[in-house]
Amino acid sequence: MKLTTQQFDALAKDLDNIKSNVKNQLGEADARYIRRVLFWQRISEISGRILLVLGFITPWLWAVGVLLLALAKIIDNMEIGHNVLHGQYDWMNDPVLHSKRYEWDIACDAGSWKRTHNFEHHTYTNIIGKDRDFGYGLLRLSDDFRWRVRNLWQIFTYFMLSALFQWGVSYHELAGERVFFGRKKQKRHSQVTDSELKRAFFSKGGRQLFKDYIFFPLISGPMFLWVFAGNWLANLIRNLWTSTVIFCGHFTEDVHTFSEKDCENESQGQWYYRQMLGSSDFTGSKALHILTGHLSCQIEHHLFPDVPARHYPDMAKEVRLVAQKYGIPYNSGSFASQYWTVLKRIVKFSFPIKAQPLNSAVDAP
Amino acid sequence: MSSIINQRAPFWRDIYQSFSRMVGNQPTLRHFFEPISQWITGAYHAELSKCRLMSLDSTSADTISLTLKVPKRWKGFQAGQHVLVTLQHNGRYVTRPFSISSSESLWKIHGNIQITCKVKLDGQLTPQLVSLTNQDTVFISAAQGQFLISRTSDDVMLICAGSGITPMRAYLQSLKDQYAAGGNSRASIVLLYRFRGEQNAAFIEEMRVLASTLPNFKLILSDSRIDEKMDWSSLPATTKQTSIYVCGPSGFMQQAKIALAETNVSPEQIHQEYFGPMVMNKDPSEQSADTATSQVEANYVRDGMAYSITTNTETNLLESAIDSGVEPPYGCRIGVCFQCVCNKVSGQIKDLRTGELSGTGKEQIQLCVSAPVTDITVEY
Repeated sequence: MKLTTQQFDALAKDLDNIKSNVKNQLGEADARYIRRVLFWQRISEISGRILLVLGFITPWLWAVGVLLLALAKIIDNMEIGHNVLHGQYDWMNDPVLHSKRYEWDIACDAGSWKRTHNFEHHTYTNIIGKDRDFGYGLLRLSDDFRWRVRNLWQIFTYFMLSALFQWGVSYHELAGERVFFGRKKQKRHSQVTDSELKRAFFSKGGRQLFKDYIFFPLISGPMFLWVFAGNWLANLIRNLWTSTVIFCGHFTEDVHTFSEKDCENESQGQWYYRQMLGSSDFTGSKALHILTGHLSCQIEHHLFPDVPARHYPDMAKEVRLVAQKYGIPYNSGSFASQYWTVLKRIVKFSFPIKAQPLNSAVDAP
Repeated sequence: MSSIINQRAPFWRDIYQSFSRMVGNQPTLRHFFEPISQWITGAYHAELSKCRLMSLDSTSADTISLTLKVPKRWKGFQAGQHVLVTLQHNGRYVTRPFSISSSESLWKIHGNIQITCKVKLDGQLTPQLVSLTNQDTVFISAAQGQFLISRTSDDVMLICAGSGITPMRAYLQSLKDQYAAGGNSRASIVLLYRFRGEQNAAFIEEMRVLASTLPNFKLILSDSRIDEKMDWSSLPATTKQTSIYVCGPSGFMQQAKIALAETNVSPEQIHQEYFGPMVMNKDPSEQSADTATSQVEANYVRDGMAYSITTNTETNLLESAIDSGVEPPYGCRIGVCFQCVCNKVSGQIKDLRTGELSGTGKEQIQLCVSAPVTDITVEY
């Protein structure tokens, strides 16, 4: 299936319209919404940390504390951090909610994230060799990659990555720039020096470790170990959740990949087309959408990364119609079914057998 | 950064900042608790002082004066300084600089300040100011600006046009209060005030009263509806000791400087306050014609070092910066990745995607989709 140049231009126009309709009505309601999210994030973080200490009364309080702290970290990372760092709320001109200033409760330095995620991943989505988010250099998720023996046990690698997801994200740029290991890539344009990368990595990571594993346990006195363990568990829950959500957005069974050659001199319409084929949605309640930072609408997020995410579910209805109009596959399903296909994909490409080329670049523009 | 942080000694400030970053990933704890403070108090801003509107009066046909009750923490000001006034409108913080027009003693005794501004109905902020009611919240920054009218030199000459009267009024009122309290009077003060029709001249009656009560104060009024061309020869002679202060629209300030240069005033004697009286917003049809190919100066500041580049109103700021070897962080170059977001300190830009013009004050912009419309200063 291939669209003509005119169709690509018409596609771009249709999607631009959906975007400007929403952008024109941004205002008070969006500001109120994000501040309310911020408020409940702060409340659940503060009460979570207090309940961890109150665990000496009954461990149940400790357990609720763990869940609240995990919730606070998830909301901070997904609905607030991820979306603010995309510049979705820059129009508010609020220093606490500006992409330039925001720092989040995760090991990854916000600046590093903006380079690897906002720029590399969102510009070159699913272009093999350009978008290192496709498999994170650890997993073989399409036949575009040569098979290696280590791919045999990549399902375990995947579970490890999920459990340590915040560190994977924070190390991502340093791995790409070969800061510690590997030979430097030729001709790689880098805006930051290795020492800047190292400094950001150690200072942000160190701050997070100090906070969760030294500072808060220490000020809890005799509850040191409980708080230590509670923080560890909250971080683990957050890691598993964020990783699962993100894998469901990009590594479901029918997500397409592209080659660098396909995307040379790409028009806006072709870029939109690639974003639609390179992402997948999943359905769910409003609460689920918020917990995923609306990355449950990964397709809409990739089409309109700087539109405040609370609009994605509504935009999705229109995007689905546009997809139908041009005969573009629209990858959506329930959370569970999408996750099941993620696991299938990871296992499938563990083996060297060349799968039928349904997902590869042959039908790309 | 915020004035709140700067109040502490550097050592404790560093400790405090590191602590806030560690615990809350925010530069101060105020920022971390801001959402809760907002919920409790209705409106709160971690970096600005929250003021209450005490009264809103019209001071001439097209200017209004706001009297604001400032919080005790606010650090005060000197006559001639301005504040950045911030309002929340439709979810956005909108900020504009305004000179403080009231005397220092009004703040010292009553904790109030006044700002006076020209109402532009097509502007982004002033229509909001007009619709405020008493007790509403207005945020202000710390007082800033180097337009400090001298208290030591013998002779002072104040030259202003339109809303340029505001810093002059703050100075003259402060002087009057000092004089009433038994302070020494000055050798000579001259105020040249040019306006477009008396009904539009803010504080004109007040100035007349001052002229009759303050000793050695000479008031020269000039109405552009009567004297179309400014008669600069009406200015009294100056000596090398006279300090001259000029505030008004850019065209007027240019003229004043030229006229003064002809009377052998040296440039060091002239102090000026220019906060882009939004020339660009005035007449959109005119502006496209005369900005089409203009050359402008772009200053890129990092850690106090400034790089000055001559560029034009058609080239985006990122491109001209990179071409000249200034390397701000950047990514996609198409306005998607937000890596090149920078602090604009002053000047006006055009969003190349929408053609929309920005304000002239401090705000954050994306270099890659912004072209300068006036001379501009950016921190990167």
